[in-house]
Amino acid sequence: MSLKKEYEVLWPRGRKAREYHPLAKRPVSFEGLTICELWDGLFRGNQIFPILRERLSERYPGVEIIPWTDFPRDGDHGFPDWESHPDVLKEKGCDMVIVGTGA
Amino acid sequence: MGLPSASLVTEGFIAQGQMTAEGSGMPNLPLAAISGHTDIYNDEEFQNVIETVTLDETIKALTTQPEDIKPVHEPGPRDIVSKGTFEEVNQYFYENKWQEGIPIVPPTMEKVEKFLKFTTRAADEVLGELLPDRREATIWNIAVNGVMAGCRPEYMPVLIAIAEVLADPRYGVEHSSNTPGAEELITINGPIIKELEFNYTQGALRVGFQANTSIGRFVRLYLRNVAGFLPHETDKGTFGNTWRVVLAENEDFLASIGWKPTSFYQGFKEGDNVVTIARYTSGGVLVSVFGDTADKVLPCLGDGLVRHIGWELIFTTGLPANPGFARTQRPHLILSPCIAEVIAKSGYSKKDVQRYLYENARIPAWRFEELLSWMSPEKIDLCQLVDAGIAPKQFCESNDPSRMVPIVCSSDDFLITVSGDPLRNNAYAFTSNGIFGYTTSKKIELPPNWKELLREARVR
Repeated sequence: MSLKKEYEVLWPRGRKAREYHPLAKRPVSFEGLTICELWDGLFRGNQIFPILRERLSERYPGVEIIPWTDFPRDGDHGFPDWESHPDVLKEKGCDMVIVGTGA
Repeated sequence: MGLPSASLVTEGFIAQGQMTAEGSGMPNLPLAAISGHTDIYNDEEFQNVIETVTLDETIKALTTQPEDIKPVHEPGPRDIVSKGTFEEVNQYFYENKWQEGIPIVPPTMEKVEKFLKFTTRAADEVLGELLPDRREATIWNIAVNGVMAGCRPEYMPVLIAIAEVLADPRYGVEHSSNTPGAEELITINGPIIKELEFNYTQGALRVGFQANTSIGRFVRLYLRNVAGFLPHETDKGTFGNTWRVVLAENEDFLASIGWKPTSFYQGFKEGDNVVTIARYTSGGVLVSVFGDTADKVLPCLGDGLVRHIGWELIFTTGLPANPGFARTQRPHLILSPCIAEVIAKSGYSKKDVQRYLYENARIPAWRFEELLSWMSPEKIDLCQLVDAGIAPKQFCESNDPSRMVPIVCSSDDFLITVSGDPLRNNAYAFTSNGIFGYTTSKKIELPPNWKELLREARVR
């Protein structure tokens, strides 16, 4: 292979096979809204959520927070029943969601 | 659902979170950072991090409207993206993160077309979408990356089968960047081993043989360019490895001792050309396996497997928070031919070796539980995992902490391959990364005029 030769080269990647989803409109204030917690059982969410809950309630007295423990788990083994969540979020009147923990 | 959300993500995973969100069609999804990593703080330090960093980021994510997405223009598959000398092309590819730091073969139209001659499938055929970038795996981009990796055009049927594994949801390509930094190993079976001149004797797993080496490199390039795994971005391996050279089984030797190929135990017929891919974390060589009968050799092999497995036992029984991990541990034992011969002389088949290992490669339950507990916030009890229906019942045959339990759920979970130096009594034990790169096989489909094409290709 000569180092002087010129090569016309092709793109090695592939088309991105997805559509963009618009994100939900954010509220101006938390007043009168319900925040729901969803936890996957990993990386100390059992400590993170109570801290956030307490501080958010102090800062925004009008907000209601539904803890992750109120969402369906599979038996008593600490992992969520993700499939049922869309319905449950509706049933519980969730306006916003905090999800954890990615690590 | 259409609800505002804040996703809690540790600092080191923000880039991966962003890329994963983009692959899911939400590149502007707001993330709330947790500084450092959750596992290293005491309670006081952790509370401070959540209150001083995560709280404000959570509020911002829930109340600040993310900017709209701006469409990004990308080249089409047949677009010429650069023109230049070998060095200029390589610099361009390096700057665009399309090569791994060593030169690629420039993927020109002429070279790609040579690869396409080795398949009857349409160049634009989509085999699947590879996460996290969710890019289409196509016959075309298989050929482009095959050229870049230094493959020969006649390797194309193997490359297609490999991409089919990566596109198979059972394999779980999206986990190819998890923090243990496991690396893929391709095992190949069938007449194609000789047809493509794979090394299957001394120096197995060593670079130096074009088919083994360049096809191993192809996988890493394909994961980079099509799946989208990049260090410092989406590839979160704490420690990584260079790609693994392809392992080819010594099928002549297998025939001489009456053993079946690895692919047979993966559900294929003897004589089929098959690739098997799995991701392996730890592994190591078992040296000078001394003995002239199976009874003398097998205890050493069982002990080697037990010594090389540790945290990966989470893929045997699962954890309370991760039941899906269970039953996905598949250790891979590579035997040099002379060890296999000793075992076969004692009347053992591969199946018998699997049974032996299941019965004898065991550890005390207390030790198993200790290893799992180091991976979990709570103490793990194997009997509780069994009661919960997560682990199979053999892990709780009594409450005696000294009872011996297996390292896999079934004898079939052991993969055994014969390769390496025929005249040296060494073996190699790989521990699998379970569900995160689950052992998956595909048949290599050859074009109808394969023999003729191969003959032409060999006129070098």
